[in-house]
Amino acid sequence: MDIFDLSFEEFEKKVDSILDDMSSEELLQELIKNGLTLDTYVKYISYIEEIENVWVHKNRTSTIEKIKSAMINNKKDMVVAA
Amino acid sequence: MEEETIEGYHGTKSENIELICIENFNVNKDSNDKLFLGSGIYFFIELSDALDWNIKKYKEIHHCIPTYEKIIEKYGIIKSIIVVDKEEILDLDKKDILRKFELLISKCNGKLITKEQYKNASNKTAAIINMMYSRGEIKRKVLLKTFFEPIGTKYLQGLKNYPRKMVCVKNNDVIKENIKVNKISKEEYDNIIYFYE
Repeated sequence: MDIFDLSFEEFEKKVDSILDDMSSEELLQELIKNGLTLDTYVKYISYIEEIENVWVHKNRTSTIEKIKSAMINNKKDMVVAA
Repeated sequence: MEEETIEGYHGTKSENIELICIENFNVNKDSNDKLFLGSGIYFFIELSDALDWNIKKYKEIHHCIPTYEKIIEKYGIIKSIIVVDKEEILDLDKKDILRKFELLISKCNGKLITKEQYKNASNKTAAIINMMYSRGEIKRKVLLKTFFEPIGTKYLQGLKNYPRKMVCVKNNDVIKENIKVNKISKEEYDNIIYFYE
């Protein structure tokens, strides 16, 4: 049995209790530990992430596009990352 | 308990095939894999989707679409037999599960609304799933989800979102057999390439 076996109401209470037990910083750190990627320019073929609750397929940004984008925005740190 | 048998197809480099067929997949080895349902081994329900995955992988590395001969040489497909209790499956195509899942994601997002780092981060959904597994709040051995990908159709505008049903296995024990797929036809390859824009 796990959290998804609970009724919707119980599920919500359980999620609230988990999140209430930690600060936003602790949650962020735990997500980073579990694979959250702070650098948006990640190298892999494609990934799907939830954007405004819709599953959207996104192709990865190529290195050239990253450099172009960095030059346009005059962001040196992005150039280094690219 | 009622068991379900799922046949899944996994695309990978040719050099990995033999070892996987002998030693099985290693879920823990892929713990850093940043895919949308979190850590685990990913399978497609359709063979052609695994072939498409291989072609995309090749394209990613070589910046060109491989010929049929090249993709057959460099990449292979494993057919795996997954046997799992129905209660151990989390089916994200079901609305009751999806509703709870969305609530979980939205509550995490709400808690982190002030965190600039989170706003710009990627891999959010996978990280939240991984966190819930590491806390023991989700224990299911298999996750199912159908994703929809736009394909390059010229005339079928209303049908351009192509469904891909995926299986994410979180526990090696449910993978009972791995068999190398020996025959992938040129026609199957052509069917995929046709829709590349």
